[in-house]
Order: sequence, then C-alpha cells, then structure tokens
Amino acid sequence: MTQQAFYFDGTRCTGCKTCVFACKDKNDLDVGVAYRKVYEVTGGETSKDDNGCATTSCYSYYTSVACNHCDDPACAKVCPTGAMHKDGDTGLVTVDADKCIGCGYCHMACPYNAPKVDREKGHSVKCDGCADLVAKGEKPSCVMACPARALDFGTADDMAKLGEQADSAPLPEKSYTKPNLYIKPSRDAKPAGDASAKVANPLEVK
Amino acid sequence: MATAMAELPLALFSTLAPMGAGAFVILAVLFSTAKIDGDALKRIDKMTAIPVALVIVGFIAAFFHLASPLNAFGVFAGIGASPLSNELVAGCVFAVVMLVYWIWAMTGTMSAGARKGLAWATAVLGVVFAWFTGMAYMIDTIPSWNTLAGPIQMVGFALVGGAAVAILTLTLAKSADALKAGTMKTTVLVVLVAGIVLGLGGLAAQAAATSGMGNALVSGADLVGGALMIIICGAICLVGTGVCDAFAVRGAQEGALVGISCGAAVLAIVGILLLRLAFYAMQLSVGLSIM
Amino acid sequence: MIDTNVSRRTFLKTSGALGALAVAGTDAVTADSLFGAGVTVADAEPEEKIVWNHCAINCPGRCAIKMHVKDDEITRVETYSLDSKDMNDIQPRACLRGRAYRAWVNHPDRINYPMKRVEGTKRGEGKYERISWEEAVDTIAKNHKEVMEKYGPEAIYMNYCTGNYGVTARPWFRFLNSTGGYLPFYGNYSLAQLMWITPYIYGSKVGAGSSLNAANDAKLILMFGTSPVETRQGGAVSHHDYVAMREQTQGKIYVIDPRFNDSLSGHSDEWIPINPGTDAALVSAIAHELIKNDQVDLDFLHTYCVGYDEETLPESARGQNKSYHDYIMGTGYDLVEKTPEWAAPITGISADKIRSLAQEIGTTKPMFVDQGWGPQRRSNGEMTGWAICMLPILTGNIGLPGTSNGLREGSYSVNLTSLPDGKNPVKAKISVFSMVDAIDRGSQMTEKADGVTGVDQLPHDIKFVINYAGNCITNQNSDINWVHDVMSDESKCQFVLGSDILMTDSLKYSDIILPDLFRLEQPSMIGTGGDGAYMLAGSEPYAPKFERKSAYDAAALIAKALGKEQEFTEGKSQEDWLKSCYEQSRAKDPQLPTYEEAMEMGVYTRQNPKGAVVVMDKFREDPVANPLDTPSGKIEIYSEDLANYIATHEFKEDDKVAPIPIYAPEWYGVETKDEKYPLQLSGFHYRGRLHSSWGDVDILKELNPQEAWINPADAEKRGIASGDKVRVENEFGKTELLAKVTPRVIPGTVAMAQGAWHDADMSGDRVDKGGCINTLTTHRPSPFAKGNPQHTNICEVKKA
Repeated sequence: MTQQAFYFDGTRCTGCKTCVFACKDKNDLDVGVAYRKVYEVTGGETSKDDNGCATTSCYSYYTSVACNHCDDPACAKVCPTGAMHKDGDTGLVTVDADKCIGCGYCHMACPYNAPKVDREKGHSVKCDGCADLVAKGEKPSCVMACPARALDFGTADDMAKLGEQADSAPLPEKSYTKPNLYIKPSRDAKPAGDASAKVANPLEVK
Repeated sequence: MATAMAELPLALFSTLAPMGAGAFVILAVLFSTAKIDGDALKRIDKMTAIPVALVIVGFIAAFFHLASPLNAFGVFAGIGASPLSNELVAGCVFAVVMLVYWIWAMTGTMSAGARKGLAWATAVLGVVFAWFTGMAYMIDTIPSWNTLAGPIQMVGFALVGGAAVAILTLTLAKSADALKAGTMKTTVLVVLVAGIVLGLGGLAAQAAATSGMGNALVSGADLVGGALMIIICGAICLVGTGVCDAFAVRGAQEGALVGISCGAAVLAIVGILLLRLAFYAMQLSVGLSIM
Repeated sequence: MIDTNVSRRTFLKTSGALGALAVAGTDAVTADSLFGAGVTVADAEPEEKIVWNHCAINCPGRCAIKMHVKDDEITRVETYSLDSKDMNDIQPRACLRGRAYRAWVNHPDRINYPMKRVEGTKRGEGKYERISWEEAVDTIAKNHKEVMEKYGPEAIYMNYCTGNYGVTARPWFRFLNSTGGYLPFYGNYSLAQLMWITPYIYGSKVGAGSSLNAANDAKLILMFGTSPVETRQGGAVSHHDYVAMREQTQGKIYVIDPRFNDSLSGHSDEWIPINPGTDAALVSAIAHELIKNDQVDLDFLHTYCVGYDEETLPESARGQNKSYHDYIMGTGYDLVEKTPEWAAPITGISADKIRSLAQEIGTTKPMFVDQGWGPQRRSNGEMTGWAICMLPILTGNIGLPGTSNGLREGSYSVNLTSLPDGKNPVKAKISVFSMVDAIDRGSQMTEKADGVTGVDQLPHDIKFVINYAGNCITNQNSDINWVHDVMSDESKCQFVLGSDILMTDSLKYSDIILPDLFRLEQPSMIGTGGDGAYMLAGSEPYAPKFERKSAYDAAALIAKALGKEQEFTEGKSQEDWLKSCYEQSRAKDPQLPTYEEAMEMGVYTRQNPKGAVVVMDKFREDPVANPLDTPSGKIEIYSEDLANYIATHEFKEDDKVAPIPIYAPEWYGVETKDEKYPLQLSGFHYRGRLHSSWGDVDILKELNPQEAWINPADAEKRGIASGDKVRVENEFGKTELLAKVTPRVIPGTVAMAQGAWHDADMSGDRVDKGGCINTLTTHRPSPFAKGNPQHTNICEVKKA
C-alpha cells in the first residue's frame, strides 16, 4: 500500500475557504455539509491604555482540515459495520454506503470533525481524498483550488518531506490517530493542546 | 446543550432499555426468595409487559437514531473491535433471553426452576447490557467519556430505574405485598440506594473530570456549566424516585401505592433521561469533534 | 442488449474519432448509430463537455471558470490550475465565490422574464408581474422618448454598477450614446477620493503603484489599510501575489490597519493597530521624526518634488509658511507641531512606537509603501491618500527597485479594447456618488458646491435611470433609508429600468426589469493581471434559458424601438463585436493569440519580461526627459492647482482642506465620536461576497456569517458575547447582525463587512435584519471628490 496524505502550508493559508467550496462543488454539497473546514485560531489581547494607545499580543491563523486518512483512524475503529475503512491501495479512509447504518459513532470519535451522518443520504459522508480523481492521476479538488497554493496531496513519504506530521492547535496531538496530514506551521501556530489556542470561528466549522 | 437534544433518540434508548433490563434484577430476586401463588404469577407475568415494552421502545428509539436502520444487521461485523457492536450484541443477547423468558412465562408452562434460572439470566444479561451501553462511549479520542464512570452510571441507572419499573410492575400486578417482606424490602432498598449512588456518583465523577478538560472549541467547565441545570433536575428526580419507592415498600397505603409507584417510575424516566442528555452534552473531544 | 451508460461512455472514451461526435452533443442518431437498434435514447446519458469562461464581478481577478456541462446544466466548476509548486506560475485560480457559481447561476430567485412593477405598488416594495419583451421594450422606449423630449439627455443616467465586466459587458453606455446621450459620472465607489487627488500629486498618468513582486527587493514594506489577500482573492492577483511576495522578500512587513486582517494571518508580529481615519496623523508624526533626525532625502525632495520646503514652493505660495515642512514642524497654517505625542492619542499608536517605526523608515532602503483603498474611502480620504504617499516621497523611495509610490499595488496586465461607447453630446458630469442627489435636487447642483463638472449647474434633475448588473441604488449606496425616500417618490425620477440576474434590493426600485445573463452564459473575453498578465476567453455553456437575453441583445431591441438600431449595432452581434474588438487589441499587442486560439485555450498568460513593475522608474531615471503630468512636471507636495481649486470652491466648515497633505479630522471620526455614538464603525471587504455579489447564495452565507467585529473591551461593557445578535445603530438607521468578539480589532472601533443584503421592512420599522452597513453610512460626500466616505461612521452597539 502507498499511503496518500495531505500537506498544508500554514504560512501561506489566509483562510479564504476556496478549498471548502471547491470541495462542495465537486461533491455536490449543500448547506449543512462541508467535508473540508477552515479553522481560525485566535488568541492574545488588543487593548488601549489611558492615553488611548493600543498594545496588542493578538495572534491569529487558519488551518484547513478535511479527513486526514489516518494510519490509526478513530472513525474506523469505532465503526460497528466496517463501513468506514481504509483502502488497501491508497490508505484513503472511505465509507461503504451499502454497509453504513448511520449511527454517528465515526462523527463522535473523529477528533478532526471529518465524518458526518447525512440523514438524507442515509449514511456517513466525508472527504474521500477525491479518490476518483486520484485514480486518474489528478490531485483532489481542494488542492488544485487553493489560490495561495497552501495545499498539496501525494504519498505520505513525499508530503512528510514538506512538513511535520500535524501536531498544532486546533488539531489534537498526532499520537491519537497518526494523521496523514503534514503541516508547515505559521509563526503564530501553537502546539496541539495549547490551552490558549481557541477556535474563533465556530459558526464556520459546524 | 441544544446539541445534546439532537441525540434524543440515543438518550431515550439508553434510558429506557437499561431501565427495563434493570427491572429483572428485582424480579429475579423476588422469584428466588418469595413464594408467589399461581394467580399472582400470572398477573406479574402480564405486567412484565411493562419492562419488556420499555426495552422494545428503547430499541426502537435506537433504530430511529440510525440513518440507515435497514443495514443494522451489519453491526455484528464489528464484534470485539467496535464498542458499539459489543453494546448491541450484549443488548440483543439480553433482549432475546428476556423475550424467551417472558413469552415462555406467558404461556403458563414454565417451571419454577426454569423461571428462576431464566429470570436471573435476564437480570445478569440486563446489567451486562447496561455496562456495555456505558462502555460504548469509552472512546479514547473523547476523554470526557473515556472513563469507567460511564458504565458505572449506566449500571446505576439500570438498577434504580429498574427497581422503579419492577415496583410499578408488581404494584399493578397487585403483588406489592411481596416487596414488603424482609429480604425483599432490604434488597429493593439496597438496589435503589446502590443505583442512585452509582448513577449520580458516576455522573458527578465524570462531570468533575470533564470540568478540568478543554479543547480548542470548548472548555469542559463550560460544557458542565451548560448541563448543570439538567444535572440538578435529573438528580432531584432520581432521588425522588428513591424516596417514593422507599415509601412504597415501607408501608404506603394500598390506595396510594399505584400513584406512588407510577410517580416513582415517571420520575426515574425523566431523571435518567435528563442525566443521559447531560452525558451527551459533556462530549469533549481531544480535537475538533462537535456533537 | 447493451444498455449501461458506463459501457457507452467507456467506449467513447477509448475511441477518439467517435468521441468527438459525442462532444457535438447527444442525440438519438448518435446513440443509435453507435449501438444499433434497441438502445433507448433515455438510456444514453448525455456526454459532458468542458466550456471555458470567466468570472466577471468587480475584482481584477476575473478568474478562469472551467465549466463541466451536461444536458444544458453546469455540473461542476473547475478553474485553471497547474499541478505546480512554483509560486511564479500565473494561475488565475478562482476563489471560493468562483467555485460557488453553480449555486448562484441556479439561484431560485433568478430573473427569467421581463417584468413590470405591479400597479398600485411603490418602488421598493418589490412586487412585479411578468410581461412580454414587446411590452417591456415599448414601455422603456416610451419613457426614454418622453424624458429626452421634455428634459434632454442630461436627465438620462446610467447608474454605477460593477456586477459585469468583459470586453462587451457594458453595452448600455453605447446604447445611450446611440439614442441621444446621457449625463455621465466621474469616479467610482472603490477609490473616488484617491483617484481625484492622485493627478494633483503624480499627474494623470500615474494611477497605481508598483506590482507586489517589486517588494521582493524591499527591506521594509508598509501596508496601509489594505488586505491584499481579501480584496482580490484569485490565484493570479493580490491574494496569491501577496503570499508569494511575503515568502520571497527579505523585507520586514508592517500592516497598519484597525483590523488584524487576513493578510496578517499567521504573521501577527506585522500588525500595527490604528484608529480608522488617522493614517495622515501617523504619517505626519513620522515625517516629524524623519525631519528632526535628518532622515529625509533632501536631494530627492528638491530634484523631484515641489512644496516640501520654502525653496521649492511655487511663487504664489512663497513667504507664507505654506510648505509641508512648515505644516509638520508647527510653523504652518495650524501652528501645531506634529510630534509623536501629538499623534499618539489620535492614532492610538504610542509615541514610542511611532518613533521606532520612524527610525526604521528613516534608515531602511529600499522601502515599499502600499495603501489599500480603505483609508481613502473616508470623509478625509483625499488628504489621507495623499499623506500616505508622503512616506516614499520624503525618503526618496520612488522609482527604484524595491519601491512603490504609496498608491495601491499596480499590475502587469493584458489590455483588451472594449466595445466602443460612442460619442456623448453631454458636457456635464456628476460625481458617481451624486446620483440620488441629482434625482432629488439635480437642478440646484453646482460646480462650486457639488462637484458638477463641465457646466456651472445641472439643467435638470435626473428623470430616467438605467440600473444594470448593480446593487448601488440602495444596498451598496450610502444612507439607504434616505435613498429609499427619494427613489420611492415617483414625482422625482420618472422611470427606472433595472436589469439583473437576481432580484436585489436595488432592483426593487425598477419600473421595468429585464432578465439578464451571467457573463459566463455568453461569449466573453477579458484581460487583466497581477504580478503576471493574463487573458480569459470563453463561450456560453448553453443557450439562454427562459426569456433571458444578453444586455447587448436587450439594448439592441430598445435601440430598434427608438429607431436607432443601426447606430447601436452597426449590424453586428455581440460576438461580432467581441471579435472586432479583439482584432483591435491584437493590432496593439501582436503577441496575443488569434481569436480562435484564445477561445480554445480559455486562459492565456504572460510573464512580465521585466520581472516586476516598478512604478515611475523612468521619471526617477531622468525627471527632465520623463516629467510627470503635473503642472511642475514633478511630484507635488504643495499643489498650486489645488490651492486654486480650494479658493474657488465651496466647502463645509468641518471639511478640512489644504493644498498639502494634512491630517484632517473626520466628521464622524475618532475625534468627533460622542456619548451617544461612542464607537467608530468601519467597513471591510468580505471573503464570502464581492461587494453584494453572491450575497444571497446560501452556501456562501452559511460559512461566511455576517458579523460585527468588536474588541472584548467594548463588548464586555455592553454584555456582548461572540455569537450574540447585536443591533448597530446611529442617526441614519439600525441594523442587526451577529457579534464577533475578537482581539483582531482595535478597541473603540467596530468593523463590519460591507455588502450584506439589506433586509428591512421599509414601510415599517426600517430595522435592517441583514447586517447591511449602508443602513448606517452618510450620503454626505467627501470634500473634493464628492466621493463615498463609507468607512467614516460612528455608532453604538447593543445586544438585540
């Protein structure tokens, strides 16, 4: 198996969500479902002194995350039917719609907020790494969309040459699921688990 | 808290089914310790429809939670690996034994020994099922759930809720007197108290641990704070169940008994349901999962 | 029997010649001839075709839109992307909005038929009934004729609209000229103030700065009130170019902005928070430090500029302490020394910080100074825009590698010739921001007081308005509540023709509505650029649906009804014009591919052979041989022309004006906010819309919620938490939206993305539920340009 992986350049991402909408177009996703999400982490303070002068320790950065097709996927681990599974050739984690009962356990368990039950479709839905495009030798829709070229996709070995395995906030520590997401963190990025790093755009990542 | 409401079918399932299961603990003790005449047994068997119905309604609620219930048989594929499969298998084994017991009992052909044996099997499997229901939420990416406090509270709820259901069943079967005998009275009180202690203690321990946790989206203290009102209401209901039922087995007037035991059962359902919703509201991922 | 679609499609894929047949379209004949009898047509899934076209909204990105089309429906939207990591490739990748075109094109509220306002309803109510094209055209022609006969062409107006760009996208100006003329406007809503003042500084031939990649050679980069990654989001304009520059430059970057904008994300050490509208005060204090520390480039100032100090002032200004140096050092007209201590409470930047910034500016070369169009879209925008240019001027950082001129970044572009407008007999012009005024009291508007040009006074009020592909009657105009009162009064404007793709708030003021096509539903071309140049060309994915028509075809029909069809069309279709315009473009730029090649390619790109655009490099090289288009041929720090203008025009008392770039306190600014409205309110460009375009597309709205940014210090006082619904209000109106409590905005200022769709009961309480900032903006124009000061507001915020 050649494990496939995403790469995310935090120094380039500006939080525009073009990746999200390219994905939504490719996968025909309406309101309520997005396979990729862009998290804003903001912290610090901007305040004024008695003279009306401002000082700031504010920091803010974005992280674009879809499914990380983990080596040790929390979703597949809890799936009662085996519908959520890793592909033998690519290591991409996908849902077998014919098997899925839509119990939502994958959604609960995944610390990357990747799978979600689509009740209309009757099963879990999530990023499949654009497996159809990848099979044709292309890259996923989100990767080819990024105006700032902050995303890439390829073998885990190649992506590992570009960045570190994802271990920065707001993502969980990499040890939980061994994500196939490699990141070049921005200067502002805080380590995974940093208590001060809060998601500042909860409405945009539901 | 609003997000926990989305899990209402799951909360109903994990409230009703274990309650129904827990009732068999009292019934098993009853059949092992008391002498009950044939007519009374018939009445009890008839009224055992109540716990059986609770279990069935619970399972139906779980079914409604699924987006594709028609694929449900596939869950057995995950036995051993998926905690949800384990729970459902435990639930199915329990439900089958329960149904065998009840249907056989209803035919009137069941021997006392078989009754005792099957009632105990149902009771034990019921408690195991409750335990596994709690275990199903022990997911290592959700530290606020990944604690034995979960299965412990489930067993607690099954015991206290089950006792309330059993008392109602026996009251409606006009056999409440059997509960007032010494051993039974003690047993019922012990089960009630143990249930309340395990249930509330488990939840309290979990809430205390959760309030010290946090991720990038939410702080555990906020989650617990948001659920605090329903935890308090649920706890009051649960204690109310215990008080009512203690009163019921310790000499309530015959006329008031139906009302009291009904009230206790309703309090149990409401209380456990609230506490289950509180449980779901305290879902805190190591990362970004939001219910 | 062979029946699956898969087998047919697979077969086509593997058979080149036959595959070509499928591209021509699916029909029974094709299917039958391939598979023989017995194959039902219903079984044969239509083949997908790829159609290139371009985005056409008000962003120079105009990115590539690659449509997958099946059965006359767009099934997927891609863009132009190469699988390449090289940041220097030119890839006009469409932004999130471009990728949401399907939801917009197929919006349930699209206009499909001509409509007229239901009799008995007022403008603004939005009640329309379907009519025939004949009736629509007759009604429009009748009103045009009446207005033309009764008042003349000065009463006919085409409103400012920005929803449709392309070589042939603006046929209405041509239509109006073909049918007798119209009252034109000058300026725009993007940069009216800066556009007005720039010719006084650098002459009429300099309109922008260096391209962003010129900053690769800079050691210090100052970005004033700009977020290049937000305002132009495509993959070959400033979004990409800024990210690439930030990665490649050795220069230290500072972004001076009230908001920690998205261009700062991940780079927090670059943010200098500033109170809105006070950039000129900051510049003045920096100038003070540069002068004090002998860090100004006197050679440059004396060789290339006039008005810095007494020795280069024009004769008329000498001996009166009118120089910039006098103004800064406290010997000028206000006798106030512009020390850092003076500027600190105004700007919100401490004196120490100003000093250290001045020290860096005074000692670091080359320096690249760039301003966005936010600082100038204000009541003091002309002065502010000019003042920011003073930093490169004072330090001589102009015309050299690694420098710009303080204006917004420029570009290297493909320039295409557009459909010719024709000749307009009307001499008068009004400021673009004056339309509603000119409807309300046009005949009283003068050259001296109202910025009318070409005549001393307008002869008439405006009586006939065309509003095409724009939302600038209400939504994007200032003071919506006032606009509503004027526009809904039918005794004022006789007739409003609206044409658009969706029912917008502005379109509700139309008497007749014509159903338009998206640009990408018709043949089109456009040229543009950022660091690199590109051109986009494309065709229609399907024939017009319902009774929609292109603006060109609609205008031709009306021209015909007015007996001017030949004048308008010259016998050509839109596509004929596209071709002939393109041939003219090729004559000027022979490197361009042929029309057919361009259409086939979809996207044509061209690298800048010089690497970067360095603005005013020729002037720097030889100011005598290559003078600027100013009266002195030099950069004017004191403008004699402007002094004359000021002397001969009327200004309001609180309009602070001068022939040098001063700090002018604002009418609704940090120094004039009061107890009732203690917060400043500034707009910004939102990523999920372009102005109001896409503003009603649900999938974009969901993930780009309309929010008021408010600092925790201001929010706590008001009991406001993130996610709360709040009401923002001032003397002009009330609007409701969600609160985003964030340290990303300076205390004392609320920031609201402009362009959200106005949603108020205009016959009821008029409280806008859409979070549209123009419920709160004033229609008072800026002093010189008579432009839109839409970021100059004060307000109060309450929990709703």
